[in-house]
Amino acid sequence: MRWQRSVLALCVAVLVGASFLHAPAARAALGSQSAPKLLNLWFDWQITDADVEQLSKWDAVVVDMDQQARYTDRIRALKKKNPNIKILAYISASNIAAARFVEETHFPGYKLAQAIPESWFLHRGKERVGFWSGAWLLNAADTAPRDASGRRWIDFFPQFVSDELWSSGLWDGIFLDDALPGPTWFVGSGLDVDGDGKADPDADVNAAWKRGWKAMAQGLRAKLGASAILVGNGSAEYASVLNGVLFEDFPKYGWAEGFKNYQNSIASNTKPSFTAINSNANNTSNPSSYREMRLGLGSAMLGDGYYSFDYGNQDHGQTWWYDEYDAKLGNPIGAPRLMLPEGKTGTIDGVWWRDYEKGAVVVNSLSSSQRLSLPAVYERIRGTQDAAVNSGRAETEITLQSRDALLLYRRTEASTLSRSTSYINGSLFRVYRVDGTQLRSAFVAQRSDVSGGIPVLSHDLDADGKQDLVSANQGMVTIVYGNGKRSSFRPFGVAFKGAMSLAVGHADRDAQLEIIVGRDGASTVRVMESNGTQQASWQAYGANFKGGTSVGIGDLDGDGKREIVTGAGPTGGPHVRIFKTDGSAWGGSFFAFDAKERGGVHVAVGDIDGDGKDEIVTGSGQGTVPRVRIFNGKGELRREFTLDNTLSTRGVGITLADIDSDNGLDILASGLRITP
Amino acid sequence: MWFQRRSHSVSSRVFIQGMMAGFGFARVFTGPIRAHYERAYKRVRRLARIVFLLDAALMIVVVCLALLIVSLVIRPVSAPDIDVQFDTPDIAAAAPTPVTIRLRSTSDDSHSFVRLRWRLPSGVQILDASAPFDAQGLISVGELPAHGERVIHAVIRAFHPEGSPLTFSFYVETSDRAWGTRIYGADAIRVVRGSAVTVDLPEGADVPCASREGAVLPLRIRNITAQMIPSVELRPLEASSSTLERIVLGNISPHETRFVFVPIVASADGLAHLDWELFATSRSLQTGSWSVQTVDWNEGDIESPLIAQPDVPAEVRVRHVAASSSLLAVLPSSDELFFAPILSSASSIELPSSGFASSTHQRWMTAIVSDRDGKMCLGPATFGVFRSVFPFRQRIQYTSESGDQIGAGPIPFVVGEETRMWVLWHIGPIDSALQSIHVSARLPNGVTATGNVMAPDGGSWKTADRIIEWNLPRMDTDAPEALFGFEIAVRPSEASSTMPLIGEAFVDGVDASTETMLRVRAPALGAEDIDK
Repeated sequence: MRWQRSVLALCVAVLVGASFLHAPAARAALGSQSAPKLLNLWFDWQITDADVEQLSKWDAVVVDMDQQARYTDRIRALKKKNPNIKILAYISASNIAAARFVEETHFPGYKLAQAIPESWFLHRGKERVGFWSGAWLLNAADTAPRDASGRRWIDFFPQFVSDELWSSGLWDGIFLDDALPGPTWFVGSGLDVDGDGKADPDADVNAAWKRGWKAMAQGLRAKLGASAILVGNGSAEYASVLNGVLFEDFPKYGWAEGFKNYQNSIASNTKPSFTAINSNANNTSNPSSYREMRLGLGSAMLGDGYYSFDYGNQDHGQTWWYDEYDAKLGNPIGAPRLMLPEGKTGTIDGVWWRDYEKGAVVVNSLSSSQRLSLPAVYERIRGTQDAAVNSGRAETEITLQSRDALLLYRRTEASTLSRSTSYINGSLFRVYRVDGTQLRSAFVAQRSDVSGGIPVLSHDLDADGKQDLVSANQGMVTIVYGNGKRSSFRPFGVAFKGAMSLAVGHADRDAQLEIIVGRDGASTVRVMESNGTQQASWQAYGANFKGGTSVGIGDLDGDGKREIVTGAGPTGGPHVRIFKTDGSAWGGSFFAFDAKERGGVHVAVGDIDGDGKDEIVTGSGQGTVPRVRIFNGKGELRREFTLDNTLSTRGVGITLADIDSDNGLDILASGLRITP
Repeated sequence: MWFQRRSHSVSSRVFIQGMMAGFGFARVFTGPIRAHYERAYKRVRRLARIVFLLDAALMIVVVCLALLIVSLVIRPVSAPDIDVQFDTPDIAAAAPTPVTIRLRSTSDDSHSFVRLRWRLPSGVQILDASAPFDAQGLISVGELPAHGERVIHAVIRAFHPEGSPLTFSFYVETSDRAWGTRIYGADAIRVVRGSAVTVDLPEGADVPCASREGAVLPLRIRNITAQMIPSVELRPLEASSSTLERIVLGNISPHETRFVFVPIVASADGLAHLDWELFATSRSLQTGSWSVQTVDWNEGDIESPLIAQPDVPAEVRVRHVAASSSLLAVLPSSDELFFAPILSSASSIELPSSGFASSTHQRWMTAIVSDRDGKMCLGPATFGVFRSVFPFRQRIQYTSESGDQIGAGPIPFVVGEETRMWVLWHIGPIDSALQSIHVSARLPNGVTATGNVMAPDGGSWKTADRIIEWNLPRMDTDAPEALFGFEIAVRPSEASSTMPLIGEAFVDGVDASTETMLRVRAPALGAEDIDK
């Protein structure tokens, strides 16, 4: 008995261990480093667990270097939560705050402060100078006095960063505050940069400073290596020796000038570029400064940089999140172009436009509102914060307020539906998130290369990286491959000319996807290879049932094997059944809606919540109130929502597709009344 | 044993004596228990006291549970301080019926957080209510002041046959600070009287005899309410010898009258029996029966056009007809039967024109009614088809019926700016197959087709020219509606109160059963016709 108990315990341990090893498929990798690329200047002295949760939504975060000692685990947790996030250590490259001197002795800031001899401070006469209250400037000139070891500040600094910060392995880069073009702009004249006791001319001071700062940056690169992200805050002067420059308080010095500097910085950065724009609520706790936020975000997206929006330069450290941040416009296409005033060129104030794969960004930097004709129908994003602007409406013209910007989606089209379950060509779809909130405005999914009114889907059947088109018309299944080839077959014989339903998925272990077909007039379901070879066939419902079936395929329990789901057609109840790919029963069956209804049910299968298991999404049948219900593989209801109060004569058709490019499936529902 | 000790004080002696008396009294009642203990525990068990105490505790728990269960099973009774009154006029099956629920407080205290839970019998739906019900049938009434009243109005509809008793149960919950949560219950029973959906034989068709061959009974089904009655069916009465087959009528529109034609089949005894049951939403509303003597028919026959046109009187020819006969006609546009005297053995009778725009039932019936030995007899039926204009609509929509924006751009139009909207062609519902359907319309100047189309029912189309066309090979009655849409764009160059957007639409189709070519038109539309 003892050995049997041991075996049982071992089995349990293996199963438990396996459950932890199984990683559910992520709905979308956080921090995709695609537009909009978001930066958070988190200069709060705390990082709580809640902050980690919020900060993980950003693409890049800058935190003070002392957090390395204070919140080591939270920085690691942030990285674990979002493996794509870039975390940069904040350190001033030419300033030291008095507070650093009284910190914990094991903090990097304290160690830095203690290592600075008097000769490294910048002086006017014998007095240290600084432009921030409670902080002093350090002498970054290449003519600065040396310490007893013969080092200048610009020699020490890279070594310190390498030894104390980079060696921790916590950081992806260093954020160098106070990348000043020259100290006299900030503290005035009369500075003694070479320590000879005499004031030096401003031009010499600034020139020495620039040389020294550049040398310091180059020394830092040499120490940290090419993978380190080095970003400077203050001046575009050093853009070429850094990965990026932060333009804080944009567009404080004028939009055109600021944008030009932003673009020039990106062009000259050491690659990969990490230039960023920071705009703010003018040092007020007003997260509802939507127009200011939009102007900055839109300007950043006209280029390829990062964007940060917060309280202001007196307090960086908010996790304000905006509807625009969730907009997934894809990758930019081409350079930004000036739309208004017409006939002008150069980086001037005006209305600017940049195309993206799924939409566009438009910025009005003028001091008056502007009306713009759009090159096609675009859709405003659907938001709740500034609903008057982000109304979700489709537009052919827009009026942009002064100093404002808009993110626009290109109207969804059938040709952009990839990796979708099947849909009836010509349907009017609404797009929903899994929680039943509407994601996008309704659109007509009509492909011109396929007949109207027939099921069609787009998927990569042959794993060649190209989308293939599968459609079913009058009993014939036709596949048009992305490589141009075509094939067709009649899964129900030459005599059958009726309607069919389609799904594609792995019914076996080969690389090619199989095609699952249902038909009207009977409840036969067939699994077909793409060459027309039948793999399996069975009756999903009684032999006398003439209402037809809808079909779906997916992995309902996450075990790697697919199941086939059927929904009874009109005249049947909303009966859902689940089968293995050979037609044998799997699990139980259930009624998706009231069993007394006789309008049938439509099914689609896909992982809509990113848990690694596919869900069964059902649409109510003909003549009923249009509803969507989502079930797990056990037939347990997970969510439901009602689409409208008016009865749907066609019933609700369900298609799953990734509309917003977040690697998750969204729910497309058709069957709502178009005409009275 | 402590109370047997002597005490020197008078008061303590009185106290002790009183305690002894009290305990003695109590000992009378505990006597049987003590005897049971002596008998069943002390002499039998080890640790008798402990076992006895455990058993006693268990017994107490069981008794408490039993009391709890009983209290849950027993329905709460009306408390004297909230009165629930339910008023309703006579309830007719399938008819909207107003109901009033009154809550009256008879106490001097107000009641807070009053909630009314209304348990409806199955087959009863709420059409309207003055306060919203949640999914569990709960209405939040709020505060009920001392001696105050709250009234809730609702409109219900019961799908139950005449004579059915309906029990409406009410539960009133309150959560008062002083009283806590209390539940009151009340029942109201109402009997269904009559039906708003009726089936009968109209006057003139209710004859005592009928032809043994080919006679048809025109049963009339009427919805006398202003509500649509869903899912109406006529079925043979169970366990009857009725020859009726199940007839699915679908939804009966408000105030609609429909005729169903039921063939009369003679049984061996020469009688024809018809027993029917009327259903709505799968619930029985009414039953009826009819029987008639069948006879051999030789009183004449009817030659009528198979196809009649709308708004055009149809002519029916009769021949070999005996004197004192009448022609009976059941026309889809009329609630009553049409009778015309037949004046000669061979004559033509003009039927009134249909005068209806569209109807889902376009069959019409004629029969001769003759006097045979003093009894009126119904002859064999002849059917025709009103191949009327099948329903077709041309609309311009910026928003779908469900509220989705399908257009784009400014609405109303703005000079110099583009607005897009959809022209939608909707055919049906049809009740007879159509084929070779062709729809066309011309775009006025200033209007362009963007090339975007919506064809969820298939077909082929052309939108490149100024004439837009849609071809649909066939429509069958199992998919009786078809939709096609195409997007148009306008960019007005000047302000105007009107702007033509689409010309008159022409639809040609062929009735599949009669191969008759039919043409329907829909008027041209302008900016003022946009369905926003």
